[in-house]
Amino acid sequence: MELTRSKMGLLAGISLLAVVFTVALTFATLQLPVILGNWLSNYFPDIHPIMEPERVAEFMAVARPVGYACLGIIAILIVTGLVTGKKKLSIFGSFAFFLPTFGYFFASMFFLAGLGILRVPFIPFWDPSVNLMNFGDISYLPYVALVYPFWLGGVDIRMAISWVAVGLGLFIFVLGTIAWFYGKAQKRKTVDFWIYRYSRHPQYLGFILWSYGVMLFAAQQPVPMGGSNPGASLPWLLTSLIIICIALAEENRMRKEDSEGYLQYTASAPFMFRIPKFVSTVITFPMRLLLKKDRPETGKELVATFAVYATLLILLSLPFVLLDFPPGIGWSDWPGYMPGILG
Amino acid sequence: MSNKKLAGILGGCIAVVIAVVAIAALPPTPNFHINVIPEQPKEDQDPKYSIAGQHFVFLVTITDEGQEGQLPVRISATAPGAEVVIYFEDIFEGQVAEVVVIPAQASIGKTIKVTITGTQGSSTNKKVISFEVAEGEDDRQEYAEELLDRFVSWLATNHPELGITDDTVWNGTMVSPVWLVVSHYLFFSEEWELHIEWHIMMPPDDWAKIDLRHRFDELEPSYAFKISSVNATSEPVAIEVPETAWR
Repeated sequence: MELTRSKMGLLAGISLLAVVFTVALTFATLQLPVILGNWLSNYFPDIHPIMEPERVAEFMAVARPVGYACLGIIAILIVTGLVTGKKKLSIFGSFAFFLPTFGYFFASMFFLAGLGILRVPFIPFWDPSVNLMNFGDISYLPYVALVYPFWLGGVDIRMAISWVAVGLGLFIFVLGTIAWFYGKAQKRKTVDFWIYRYSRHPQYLGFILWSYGVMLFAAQQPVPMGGSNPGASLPWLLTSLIIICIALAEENRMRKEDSEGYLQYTASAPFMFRIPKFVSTVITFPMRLLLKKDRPETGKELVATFAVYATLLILLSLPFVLLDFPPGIGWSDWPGYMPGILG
Repeated sequence: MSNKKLAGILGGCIAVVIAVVAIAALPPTPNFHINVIPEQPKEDQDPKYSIAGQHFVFLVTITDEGQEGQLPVRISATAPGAEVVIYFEDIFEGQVAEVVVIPAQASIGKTIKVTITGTQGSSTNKKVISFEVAEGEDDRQEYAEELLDRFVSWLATNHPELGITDDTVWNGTMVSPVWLVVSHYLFFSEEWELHIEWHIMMPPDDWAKIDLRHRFDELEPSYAFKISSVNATSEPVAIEVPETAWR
């Protein structure tokens, strides 16, 4: 798209609008849970698990089946959406799967009090003797790689990383949304300008980044004495995988609708963001091994791809579980106190 | 992709995930041991006794065979028929937690089974100790406090290094209710456990002794003193320190 003066003005205006939306949405990401949590605590008040174990047991007797039912419905929505190609079902299901992460933002003695009630669908992950949430801990690897060197140098960037992930994710999402609407208003079959020149799925990339930041915030939340923070890495991991599968499904549809134009576009813009060729080759190797081709093309192939990658990532998370890393109360306390500062 | 192939892939993935979860669910071998005083009496030994409302104080330590500077072991306990209070619940090797078990009236004539659990990360270790709840009431408190005052005043003057003063607050509990010739009582300040025992006898054999254990870091007493005759108003003197804390 050639940039004339009026179009440059338009682009600048849109960029400013994107910044304003980003700031507002970043603020909302962290403030809405607080407001909603205070309101919900009127209906789901805090219960002290040691002082009132009977009330907790009574509440859990109702919450547990509800949690299992919710998770079952979410799973059905996601799988149905992937198999039938009705992406809205999968998107709704994956967002519903990630939403309980906000429950971590509410400090309470009882984990389902206030906004914590959102975590009902996570109950099946906590019921077994081993905490299934940690089976997504491989997701923390970039976080560990960024935080630890700074920490050794006496700089704590844990919160900063979370803020940047949330803000950057929303910024990319807003830019993608604006570009998409503008493209649709121009009746373009394939939106391939502005942010779409750098990512074929900026909205999904934005969502994945934003949700990563939210997951990090959740993992950093303090816990009541004697408790631990199980984090929400597995929901983030699975949600992100589902989103990627939805993006792959969309590409299949685009290839059918605008074969020539879309193929030309995919040659110039990366799937999510630009990565070195050898990294891309390693990442896609299991899929090529499984399908004997470069991408899944049917609903069944998408489900199989999702299952294989989910299993591989769970396997990669196993060392975190077996080594009980991070020790103690979990990620909220990692990597601990700054060197040289007494705890 | 055929349905058969998809089913095979999904089945394989589910099997791998179940195997992974099963591996993780295997309880890790704890690398610490729990030591409790008093220990569970052996079959040929007399059981330990308490009365309802008495504070039966178990001293809990750990022997950590893991790496130094690892996580503390969190001590928890259950005792059906009794109330449980735990002091200093997160301990490293060399530290002492106190598990206080207070039997309810309804437990008279019954055995209280105390399960003390240590948790370090995902590994746990347990110890079970039981004691009997006898019928009886605390009829020793008044005299025990009288003796305590005498010892405390003397300690405040003669052993200021202990930090015990006339203003130190003590909470007492009867112990060893079935012992008759020598009576025992335990007092606790924030810092010290003071075991007091006295010989119910005519002068000059009416002696009284105390031993002091520094709470939370000592398992055995570190000081002991004796008044050779209470009625003769003899001054306390230092004596050999008992090897174990009285329970």
